Order: sequence, then structure tokens, then C-alpha cells
Amino acid sequence: MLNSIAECFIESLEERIKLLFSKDISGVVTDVGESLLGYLKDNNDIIDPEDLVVFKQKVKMISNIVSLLLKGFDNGYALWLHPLIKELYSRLGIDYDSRYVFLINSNEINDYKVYPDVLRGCFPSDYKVKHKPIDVFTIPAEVSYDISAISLIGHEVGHVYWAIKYSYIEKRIESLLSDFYKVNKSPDLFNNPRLEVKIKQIANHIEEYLCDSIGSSMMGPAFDFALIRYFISYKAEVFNGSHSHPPNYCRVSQAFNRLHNISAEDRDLDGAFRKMMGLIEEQKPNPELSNNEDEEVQKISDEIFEYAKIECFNVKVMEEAWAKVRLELDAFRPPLETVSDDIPESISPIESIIAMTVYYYGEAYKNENEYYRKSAVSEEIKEKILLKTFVSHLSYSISMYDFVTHSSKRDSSEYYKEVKKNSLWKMRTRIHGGKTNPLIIVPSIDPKTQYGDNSVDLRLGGSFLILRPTKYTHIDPNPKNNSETDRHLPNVYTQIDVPVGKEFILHPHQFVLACTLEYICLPYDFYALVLGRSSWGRMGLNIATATTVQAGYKGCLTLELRNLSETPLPLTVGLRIAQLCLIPIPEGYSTTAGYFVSDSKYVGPVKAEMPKIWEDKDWPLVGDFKQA
Amino acid sequence: MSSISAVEKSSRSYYAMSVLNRLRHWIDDRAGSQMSNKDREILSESLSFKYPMRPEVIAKAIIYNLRSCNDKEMITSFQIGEILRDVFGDLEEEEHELYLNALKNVIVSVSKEDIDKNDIIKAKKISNEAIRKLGELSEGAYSHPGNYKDL
Repeated sequence: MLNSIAECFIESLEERIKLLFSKDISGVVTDVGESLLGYLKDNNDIIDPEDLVVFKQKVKMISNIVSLLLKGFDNGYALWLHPLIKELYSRLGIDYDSRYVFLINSNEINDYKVYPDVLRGCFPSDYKVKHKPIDVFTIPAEVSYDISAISLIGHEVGHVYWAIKYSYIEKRIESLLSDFYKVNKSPDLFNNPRLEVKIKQIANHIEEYLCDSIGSSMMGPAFDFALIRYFISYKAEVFNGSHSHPPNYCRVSQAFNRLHNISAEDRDLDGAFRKMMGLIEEQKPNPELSNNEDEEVQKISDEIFEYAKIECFNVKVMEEAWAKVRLELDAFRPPLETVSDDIPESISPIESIIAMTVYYYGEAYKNENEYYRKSAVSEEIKEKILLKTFVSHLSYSISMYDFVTHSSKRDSSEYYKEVKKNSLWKMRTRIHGGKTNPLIIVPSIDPKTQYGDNSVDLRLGGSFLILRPTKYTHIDPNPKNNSETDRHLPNVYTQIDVPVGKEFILHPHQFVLACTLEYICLPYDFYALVLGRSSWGRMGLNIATATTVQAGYKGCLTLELRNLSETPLPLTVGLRIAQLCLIPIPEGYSTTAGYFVSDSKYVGPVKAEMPKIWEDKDWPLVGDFKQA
Repeated sequence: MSSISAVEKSSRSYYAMSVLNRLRHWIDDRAGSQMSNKDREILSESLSFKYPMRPEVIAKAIIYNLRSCNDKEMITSFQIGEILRDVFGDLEEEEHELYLNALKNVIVSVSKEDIDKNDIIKAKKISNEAIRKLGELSEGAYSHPGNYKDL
């Protein structure tokens, strides 16, 4: 009977493990599934009820891991974060390539979590498993709607760091705590059943403080600002701390102190840093909430952090990032690279996050930002659009970082000598009629190959919108009520993200929306046509049906792909697929006011954009017309 | 923000159970059963986590409770220590000493023949109870030790 109960456990879990094999996440996940399956069936000698209890625990442990891995999206939604985590690992001396990082970022996730080396406690030490340590991160959906929130990932990377460099904590904690408890020789303290709970609490709090220090050491003001913002929404009782987390008072105070230290160094960043500080100053916690006991724990974690010799945040990093990123943001470009006469310099994910946080929350956009200055919409709408666009620009630039640094020829001055001869490349710093009026296409992957005499080749981006079967009998471009719930269009498209180098298979006669990998900024006196490259055309690929790009346009271009041939067409993301042909507008007919004045529906897009045809101004015009 | 995960909790409990189960199997003379020296060390260490705790033991206990602690053996011994304190806590003081000594005798004996039969019975009872308590702890269901809480 006991064995038949165990069989039930095995069979149900086996089915769930097999679901991992069907997910197109990574080969590593399939390997893990195989190992877990093997271990589940291995050596289960069930003779009495206690054996069954132990076996059930084994099933539970494996089941927890499987549940976690099954939460991973199989369309690459979270892939954009890899370069950021890679950079954070590298700053902490963690070898990224020797580990596998698995990211879970979907609308179902509400919280940051990390499982460093998730299989660490799973298999016995003599059990043969073939994969690298797997660090699983869960990232809440909010990061897609805020600029600074993603910097809290620094805290989670801290957990991975301490799991690897655990000996730093072990050595230091033993001596520090022995001393502490020798001084505090209260007999009650050592003979108290509550001590067990207290011990767990102290351990949790030490680790949380340590991870905050790590996050702040790498992301500086972006991390501390995000931490304060995060805790604003908490209730008073959580403010006093919990079993698993230190009192928010202590964490928020620490974050404030770190921000004030930067402020004291007079690092003002054109006034934006002070303004950002002003935004949170009211949230400074009341010192009456201070918790003496936790301050002791805080001191211990500070000493461990110092002992581990991790470099504190360097404010020079912030200033350098600001100098590089601000110009890009003012020009309404994603922070991918510097644009000047010189060789482009890549902007790292950490630099982008720090500078964008200060830029947006310090309201620096109100001075020089091109969209903010030129757009004709109301202030409120403008700010909403700016936040949304900045967030998408941030994720886009982070997602591109590894490909850009890997493939571009940044170090080769010889290469750029050649590139600089090209007349279209020279338009990056073009001044026309006394005003800067450039053609900028970023990131620069291989300009020597991409830039021709009259056109620039563009690469296929990784964002696709595919039509999916729905309940609708037809797609109504403008439903009568035009409420969000009635609109068909957002509900008939599914977004798929494919990383650079991977294939998207376009089936015969299939229609999908895709986008260019590059972000394009056209001058005000040139419009452009986006056309297919003839080699792809001969394969049956049609890349765009609406080919005109307006003068002054800024954004990635949405492509309307269709496979006209009779066989499936694998399209590798990152390949040159289209060309942008520039056409000058005759002198006197161009406007320097630019694209944004026209109140466009598509502002600085970086992904394939679904049609927003219901926003067309034609609807009321035609709808109000009554035939006599 | 993050806290110790269900994944880590369940694996900590499972390893503690596995060591106790190997002890039971060895006592029972199950075919192929054996207690390694590592198992003995883990079990001996687990008995050092008792009240009143010495300062250095408190320090160790804190270290084993850290999420980042990757000393699997020591985590296991701490987990067993914790559950044994719970099991012994249910006994009268005199019984407590008897059972504790019986468990100590079993752990240090290399040959099963050297152990008193009464000690074997007591050690088995303790390990059975500890396994059950670990199971309940892991379920998080103190009133009903099973999955189907509404039954």
C-alpha cells in the first residue's frame, strides 16, 4: 500500500517535470528536468510510514523547484535583463559564464526574489548532475512601468554574492557575535526558548542589510532612491520590521544617509540630484521609530561588509554616466552609445539606470528634452508619455548592450577612419542652417558594412507581434464605444521577444509585425523610405507595406513582414534585413519644429508597435457626416 | 523583497529527514543501509545546539540560519538539532535525559551489536518522532498533518 501511495506522488510529479521539456526556455532547464526525474525515481526504499514521510518531502522539494522553473516565460520576455545582471556579477567578481541565470519576469510576479544556485540543496553531494549552478531571479511586473525599480535587483544579486563568498560572513560573524554575547551575559538570553526565533531573525536581518549595501555599492543613488520609494507604500506595522526583514526605518535611514553623503560631496548633476532628493525628503523616517536592537545588527552587517572589502559606490561613476547619458536623453534617444565626432562609446546598463533615474525624477527633462520642448500635448500627458517612453528606452538599451559591445568595433580607430569617410555617417554631427540637424542611427554595430552612399542597412530587431486566434469574428479598427475593453486590436496580437542570434520562423503567407534593431533619428529636412534588401526579397520576404518615414522621426521602425513564398522562412534576429533610403525635402519646405509637433501616435517606439488606428482624427470627421 | 524560499526550506527539511532516516534504517538492519561518518558527525553536532546556548553556539546558529550559508552538513545538523529540541521538549525531564543518552550511545557506536536494546528502541522512537515533526513543519499544518486540510 505504501508503495502505491509513493507511485501516485511519482507519477503526478513526473507529468509536471515533463512540462519542462516542452518549454522552449533553455537546454539547461531540460537538463535539470532530466536530473530531477532521475533523482525522483532513484533509490526509494519505502517500507514503513516514516519512509513515506521522507519520500513525500523529497517530492515536495523537487516539486517546488519544478513550479519555480515552470513560471519562466517561454517567449523571452525577461531576456532584456541579462546584460544588467551580467554587469552586476562582473562588478562583484562573480564569473557569469560559469553560472546559468534564469529570469522570471511576467505579469504574475509581484515580488523580487532570488534563489542562488537553486539546486544547491537538492541533490546529495555524490549525485552526478551535469549543469552549472542555476541562479533564479523573479522580477516583478512593475519594472516595466518604472525607471528606478529595476535597480533593486542589486539587492538580489547581493544574495548570490554572499552565497558564493559566504566565508566572509562566517569568519566575521563568529568573532563579532561571540564578543557581543560575552559582553551581554544575561542568563535569560541564553536560556530562552524565544532565542531560537531571535536567532533566525538576526540571521535574516544581517543578510538583508548586507544585500542592501551591495545594491547601493553598485547602483548608488538609483538603488537608494528606489528603496525609499518602495517602502513608502508599506504600512506602519511593517515599518517596525518582521521576522524575515529588518525594520524599514533602519533600511530607509541607511538609504537616506547614503544619498546625503553623495549630496554632501556637492555632486549636483545640473541641479537634478537636489531636485530628486527633494522629492523623497518628506519620507525621511521619524527617529523615534529607531530600534536599538536592530541598530546593533546593522553595525555587525556594516563590519562584515567592510571586512569583505567591497568598493563603495563611486560618485565619479555617477558623474561620468550623467555626462554620457544626459545628451542622449535630451535628444530623445535611448542611452545606447555616445554620439559625437569620435568613436561611439557604449553606455552600460548601470550607467543608464543611474543617470535616467536622476534625469527623470530630478526633472532634468524640463530643460532640454526634445520631446518635452516640442510636443504640443498637455503637460500631464507629456509627462506620462515621457515616463512610458523612458522605461521602454531603458529596457531596450539594456537588452542591446551585450550585442553592441560584443559585435561593434569600438576599439579599432583604423576601422573608424574608414567609416568617417562615409557621407551619411558624417550626418551624425550635421549642422544645417545654424542648428544641429543630424541623421543618427544607433547602436552602431558595423557601420562600414551598413552605411552606403544613399542608404543605410537596418537589422531585424527581436520584438514581434503575431496575430492569434480570438473570439472576434473580425477585427474592428474602431469599435463603437472605443473603450479599452471593446478594442479588438490589443487583444489579437501576442508579443514575442527573440534574442539576437536566434531565429523567428515566418511561415508561408504569415503576417507579423516586427521592428528594426536600430533606433533612427531622421533630420528635419529628409524623409525616408524603408525598403527590403533584394536578397531577402528573392527569398519571398516582404518587409514593409507602409514604407514612408516622416522627416524628424525618432524611433525603431515597425516592419510589416509577410512570407510570400511557399516554404517557412527562418529569420535570424540581428541580420541586415531592410534599407533606409533618405530623400531630401526641397529647401524651404521642411520644418524645424519636427515630428513631435504633429501629435503623433507613435512616440519614440523601440518595439513593434500595434496599430492605434482608433486614434485617427478621421473617425469623428467621417462619423459626424450625415448624408443629406 | 526576498526571504528564505520555500525551495530552500523544503530541501533543508528533506536533508535533515534523510539523515534521521538513515539512522533508522541502520538501527533496523535494513538491507544496504549504512551510516557514514559524516552522518554521525551531523547528528553529534545537532546535539550541541541545546539550552542554555553558549555564545559561540549562538554565533554558529546564526550562521546556519543565513540564506547564503552553503555548508549543507552544518545546516542539516542545525535543522536536526532544532527538531530534536522540539521532540525532547514534549518529554518529562527524566525521560528527556534517558532518551538523549540513548540517542548519543547509538550515534557514537560503530557496531550495532555494542548497543543496548533499550537504547535502540528509544533512538528509533526519537528519530520516528523527529521525522514526523519535520514533515508537519514542512506542511505548515499543525492542526492537521496532511495536504488535504479541508477534509
